[in-house]
Amino acid sequence: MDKARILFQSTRFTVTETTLRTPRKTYALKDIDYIQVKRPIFILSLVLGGLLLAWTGMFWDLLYTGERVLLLAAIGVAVGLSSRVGTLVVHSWSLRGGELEDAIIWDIGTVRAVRDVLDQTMLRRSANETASGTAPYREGGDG
Amino acid sequence: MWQALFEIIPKPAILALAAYGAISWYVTGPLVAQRVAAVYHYPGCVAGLKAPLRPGVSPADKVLNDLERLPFFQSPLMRQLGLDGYLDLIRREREARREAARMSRPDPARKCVCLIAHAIERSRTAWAVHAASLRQIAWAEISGFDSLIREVEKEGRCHG
Repeated sequence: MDKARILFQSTRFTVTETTLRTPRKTYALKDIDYIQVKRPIFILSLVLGGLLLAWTGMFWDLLYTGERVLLLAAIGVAVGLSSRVGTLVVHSWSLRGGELEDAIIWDIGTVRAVRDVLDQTMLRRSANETASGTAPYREGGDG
Repeated sequence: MWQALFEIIPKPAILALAAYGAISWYVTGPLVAQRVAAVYHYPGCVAGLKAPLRPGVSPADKVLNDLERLPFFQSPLMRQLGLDGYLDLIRREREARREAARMSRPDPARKCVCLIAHAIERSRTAWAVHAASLRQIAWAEISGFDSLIREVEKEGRCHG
């Protein structure tokens, strides 16, 4: 592991000033162009949960009490859990199509915290590079 | 075509609808069919099968009754000879045959379970659509489910 200062640490993620470490990979922050956070199964479970809820209501008379309770609880738990699942996708234009763009699935709270830290670190890095004149693409550059 | 569809409707929503369709086909459709059949169609089916084979007085019984009333069978000589009892013998034999025919019929409850299962299997798509549409769509197989049961019975299924 690099000796850089640790900015964020959880059971699966470690963000330092230069790297992002996940259980399977370690990314150099300089290779990252942007970070994307999604809740991939939330809309799916919301639509499916809504339809099943409507179904339960419409066929209420044909269901036993145990089945009604089980269905309502299952829908609630499934929608609740799916709202907590998030993916973090690390994008790089230079390494596009490579293995850098794997999605990391974890709790949405942690994933968002990782993105916030990464955003701040990348912004700071970009500002430093601009100030020191080492930015690879500067506005108004001579091309 | 799919690309255009994915651009209009979000992919997760399409996947959710596909999953809902699969659930309707494999789980909710058959479940609704079984419950509806048990509540609304099974009692009528059993009552129909329990009904007597030929209700009322059969033509043969009518002939026996008419014969009994003839003066010939009412005469003391016939009674003395015991020939009036011959008609009773025929009547009892006919009753025994009728009882045997009734006993040889399959158990109505079991037969109805079998007929309904076949009818449900035949109308599976209609039940899936009915369940998925939240009771809004009822094809002919559902509104005329009793007829479908009779149709299955006429085909000779579930005998014995």
